[in-house]
Amino acid sequence: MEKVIIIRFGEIFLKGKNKKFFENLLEKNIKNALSIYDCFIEKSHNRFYATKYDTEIESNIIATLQKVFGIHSVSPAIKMPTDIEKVAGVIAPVLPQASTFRVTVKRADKTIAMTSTEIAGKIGGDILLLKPQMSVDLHNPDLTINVDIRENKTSYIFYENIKCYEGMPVGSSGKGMLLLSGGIDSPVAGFRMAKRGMQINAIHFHSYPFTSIQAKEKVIELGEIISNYCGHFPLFVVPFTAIQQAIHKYCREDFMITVMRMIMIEISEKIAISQNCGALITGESLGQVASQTLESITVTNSRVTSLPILRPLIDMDKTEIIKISKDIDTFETSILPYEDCCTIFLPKNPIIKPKLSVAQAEYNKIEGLQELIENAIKNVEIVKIKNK
Amino acid sequence: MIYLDTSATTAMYPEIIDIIKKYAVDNYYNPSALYTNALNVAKDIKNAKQKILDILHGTGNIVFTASGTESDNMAIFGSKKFKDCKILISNVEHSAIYQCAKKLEAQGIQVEYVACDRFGIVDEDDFKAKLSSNVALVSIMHACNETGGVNDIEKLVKLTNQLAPRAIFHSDGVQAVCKMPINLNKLGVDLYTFSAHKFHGMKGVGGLYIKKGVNINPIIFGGGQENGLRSATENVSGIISTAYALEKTYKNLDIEKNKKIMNYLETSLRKIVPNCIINTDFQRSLSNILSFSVPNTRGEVLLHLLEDKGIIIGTGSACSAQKAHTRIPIALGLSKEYFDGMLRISIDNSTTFEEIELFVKEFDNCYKFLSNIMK
Repeated sequence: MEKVIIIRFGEIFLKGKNKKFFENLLEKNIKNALSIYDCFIEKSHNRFYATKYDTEIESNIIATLQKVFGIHSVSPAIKMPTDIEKVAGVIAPVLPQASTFRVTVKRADKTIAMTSTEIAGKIGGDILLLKPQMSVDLHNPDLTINVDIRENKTSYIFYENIKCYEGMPVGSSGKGMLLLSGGIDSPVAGFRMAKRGMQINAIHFHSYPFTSIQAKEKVIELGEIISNYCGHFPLFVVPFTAIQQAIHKYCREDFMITVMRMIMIEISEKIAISQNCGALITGESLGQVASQTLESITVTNSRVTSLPILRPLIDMDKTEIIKISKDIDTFETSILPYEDCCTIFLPKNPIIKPKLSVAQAEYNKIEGLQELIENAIKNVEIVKIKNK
Repeated sequence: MIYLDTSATTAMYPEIIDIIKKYAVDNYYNPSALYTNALNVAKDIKNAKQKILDILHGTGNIVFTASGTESDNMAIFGSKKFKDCKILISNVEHSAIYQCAKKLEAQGIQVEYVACDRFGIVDEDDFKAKLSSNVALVSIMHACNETGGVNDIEKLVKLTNQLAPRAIFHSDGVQAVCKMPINLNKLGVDLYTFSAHKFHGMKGVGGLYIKKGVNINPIIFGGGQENGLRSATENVSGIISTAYALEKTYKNLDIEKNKKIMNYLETSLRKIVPNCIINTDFQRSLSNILSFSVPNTRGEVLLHLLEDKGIIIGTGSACSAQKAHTRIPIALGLSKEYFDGMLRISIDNSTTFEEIELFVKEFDNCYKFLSNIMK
């Protein structure tokens, strides 16, 4: 008899010829996530088991598994040699406080003469003898005790079914370059694309000394939090000061942000292509700020040559985004008061509906821009982001 | 590197490492124990206390804590309150006092905030007006950590004794100690805070002077050390090195030299930034701090530009990473365009004239560079 954790994965993506690929990838991601713990992963039909761990760290392992995309749910369980007589004696002492329960049996081992219902009745009766204060409620029980009788003379008993994020295993849907500012939205955007199986790389524009060292540290911290979901990744920190100064020098004040974002997208795509990324990811949400109106998005979009820009938050309200950021633990870090753009470079009245032709003209005003862009890319600092 | 942020902290005297070794490794005994070795350690602590009292001319007791902040907390929360009482603090007090007062306010105790002038010095008329017989506690900093402005504590204590005889008078002397001669008896304060790392002692050591005859309650409970006022095994090397650092720093204090440096600095800054505001009034301030505000600029940007040249200056807590911190600039009456541009130069006994000349040269370059960008 030992404690194990049952790890179930959704079956939708397991259909067809790619089943093996997805399964192997998920197994690799689970092993990576659990590498900090002393435990084993065993593979079985349509599920994995975490085994041979110290029960003290069971809740930590579960919390880590909940962040691995592609897992449908997990259950801490007791694994024992199949013996219907002994089930009640094993499970009754560890049951939490509850007044009603039911027993649900899944019997894959057809060598047992009793039906699933008969076995459930037998075990339920045994439990009632050991826990006389409890009663059976088949329709709305406080507790459902599951007994999973497998073909290999092994049974798993559990009463918890902990839902996970589902989604697809990270790495199954290509690689995307996330534009990571220090705000609330971009980490959530990265999380959402990782949930769809995308491997994440990230890019951040740093205008030291006009933005503080803390602003960069904050971005690294946000990266570390989302790497709990998407695994290790490189963060490309682009020195942006010289470009900011050039924009300030040459462009109309109300177009400063527009042109800045055009250049950011342009640099991001160049670095993304060099890293074999298939997309850019931004945290834009339609109309949230002046730079995220349809007109502004049209202008920034004009700077990409080949990669799609994925905007997973485009239709979301700020409150919805905040809810997710709280859920994934990035919110508290995102709201730290370190500015990611110096006030010197913030126009008083940024243009809300920029015309593409005007934006293009402002962009073209910057002397030596291509050289500045090349320099910025050449001097990129690569920070290896690891989960904490 | 040129370090001009001594109001934030100072380098510990290297010889304190020997003191740490002496009391943490060799004579590591718990001063509360009964064997001779332990009693000797207790005696050394007692001597260190007496030395500090002698240097600061105090009559009473010193309770050692883990920081200036803890000492301030002890003064505010440990001093006795009575029904319908109020407490007075200045509106430029350090957060260690200000946040304690806010906490008391939330608990229903009336707190009044005394206005200060634009140099961070308490407005005596306002102070007098706010004194009344129901004042239980007054806490006014000796020298302002932002501007260096020195309050006339002796006068404020006298006023308090006349108009609020039941009040305990506390002064936060964290910035003042070792920057000016201090005579606690003459000041007449009941409680006085200091912090060792501001005068080349260890971080994690603070003290609260308690005048003879003044009673306060502990805020930390346990084994009853420090006459029951601050339970916890004493930080022996911290305490003994504090006395050492205090004595040495006072010996090296050269106020005249500091003044010369600061006069040169002020003249130079005014030339470089004609529309800057100098927040320090040298007639009424410490000799080692100069605070000034540059309009329409984030102080932090200048700080980083200078940092890249190997010069470290401070922005003061007014312009810390917390953008919401506008309490101090408002209290000093600065207008909005000066809110973000507050900078603080603070020197110590080791600062040389050559270092300041180099700072001025580099500041000139950085400011020109920044002005150019801002058009």
